Amino acid sequence: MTDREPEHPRELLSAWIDGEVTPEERAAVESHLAGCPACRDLAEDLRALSGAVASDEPPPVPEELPARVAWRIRGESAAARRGASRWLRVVPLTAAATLAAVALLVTVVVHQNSERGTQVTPAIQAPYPGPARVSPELEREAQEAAARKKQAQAPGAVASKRVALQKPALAEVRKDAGVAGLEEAKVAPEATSSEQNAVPAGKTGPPAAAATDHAPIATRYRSDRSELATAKPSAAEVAPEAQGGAVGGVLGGVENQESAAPPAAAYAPSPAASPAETRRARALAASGGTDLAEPSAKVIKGEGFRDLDVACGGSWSAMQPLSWRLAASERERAVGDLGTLVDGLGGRLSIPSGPGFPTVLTIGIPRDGWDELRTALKKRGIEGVALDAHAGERVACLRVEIRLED
Amino acid sequence: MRAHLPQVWRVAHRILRHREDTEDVVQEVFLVAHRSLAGFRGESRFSTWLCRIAVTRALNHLERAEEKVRRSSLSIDATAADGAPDPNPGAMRGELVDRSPSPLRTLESRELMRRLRDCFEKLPSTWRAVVALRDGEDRSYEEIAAVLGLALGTVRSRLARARLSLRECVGGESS
Repeated sequence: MTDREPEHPRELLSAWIDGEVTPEERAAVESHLAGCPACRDLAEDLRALSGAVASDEPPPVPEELPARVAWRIRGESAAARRGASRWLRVVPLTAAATLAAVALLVTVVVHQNSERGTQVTPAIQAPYPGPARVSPELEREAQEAAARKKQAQAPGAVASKRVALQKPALAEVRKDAGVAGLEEAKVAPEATSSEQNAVPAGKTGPPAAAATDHAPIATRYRSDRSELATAKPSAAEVAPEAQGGAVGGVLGGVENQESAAPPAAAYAPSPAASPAETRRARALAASGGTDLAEPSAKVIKGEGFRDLDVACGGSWSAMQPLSWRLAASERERAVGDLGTLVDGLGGRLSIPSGPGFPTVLTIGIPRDGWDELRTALKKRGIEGVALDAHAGERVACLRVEIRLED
Repeated sequence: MRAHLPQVWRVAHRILRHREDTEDVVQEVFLVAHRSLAGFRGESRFSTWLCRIAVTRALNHLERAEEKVRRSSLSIDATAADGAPDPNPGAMRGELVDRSPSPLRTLESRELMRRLRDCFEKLPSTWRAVVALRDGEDRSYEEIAAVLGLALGTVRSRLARARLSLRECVGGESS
């Protein structure tokens, strides 16, 4: 017995009815109970309570819960994969932004040189931000090399040769800049198209490969030439996706992307955005700012459904659901796969709360992902999908009723 | 997952007593377990590890809805020795004033269950977890201590306090 219960061993009684006492404690309790009717009553009550709690069985596991859990796990795995690929995407976007800055910088330098009466040939303008970023030694070395070659070549070829001779200088500057993301930009296939989009070919932009090489130089140049940095647009101004990337580093850009979803009204497609990003952003705008691809929002309840209502134009919910016949053993995997597909198209699939199958799934998808979805649904035997019947301005919606086969 | 889902569901529901909340928490539990699987060192049984996640998540969920407890008609001013607020401080003092037949055993079972559920929701969340694991899941004190990360003595005293509070609450409503 403890000091706190000199007369009635109440705490021990609780442990005694559970058989969780030492032999000494048991003897003490039982001795006390023999002469204390109140404690016997209490022990009976505690037993009754314990039994009542045990008999108050929770409801059975909802039938659709395993599918929902499996689907969320798949969604998270897919999101993790997306996260990795997004990481790779941000790098070229950052490169595209800095490239655009380089282009503007070149224009400024050329303009300044022109005002000073300096002659700058077009061949030099495109691939280089300007002579000021090259160290004097390297510049001199290049000029000497150019002079040595000059005698053996036609005068018209000097400019292009000079470009080639300055390549080592670029490599050296890039190493100093230490932008680790550059290597990633080289391997990301989207870099080429993004950068070509950002800087129209044949104007101020160099070929894609050269653009990749030059991206970090702009960063270095910006810090070295602060007076020019103030005169050119920041990376964020050039491409919102790259915000934080050029200055804060690649990871900073990713973090910004993760944490700051743009409000619907502020959405403006970036010319450098990939089609998937554009679709997703459009869907985001159309849904009133709810990120349709956010894994945690895939199972929609309450407020979320109202968002989808708005996005889908309101009348879709009255539509007759399309029928999807599935074997009971297949439903978990099939619904999970469909969820992953919809997610990949920048849409959202909801599994409504409620007991039991069959159940009606709701799918909201950006309109430009519709054809792909329709094809995928057709493959699954879900026919009769017509876009115009249930599409909002930007997001199309449909309902699919799962019918289990036995 | 299927093998462990019923257990996780039961534990979470016994603590939360709310179907939708339980659904949310169960999904959370498996997501967390999925993320943390690599960190599972095998020091405890897998089911114990999963149960610990379930209890933690359920308690977090309850903490976020703590106002439910504050709405309780019982006083929570006093703080029990183990840190949890004691909804019925007199229950442990060994005061056995009422010698009339216990109302608990005279109640019709449906009414008893109704009161029990009401009173259970008034318990501090950490006490709920102990009762749920002991009386609901028939776990030993040792297992409960492992799941909750408590000392055996704390499990014993917390369980006793919770039961005595429940008794007072359920019986008190009939008087």
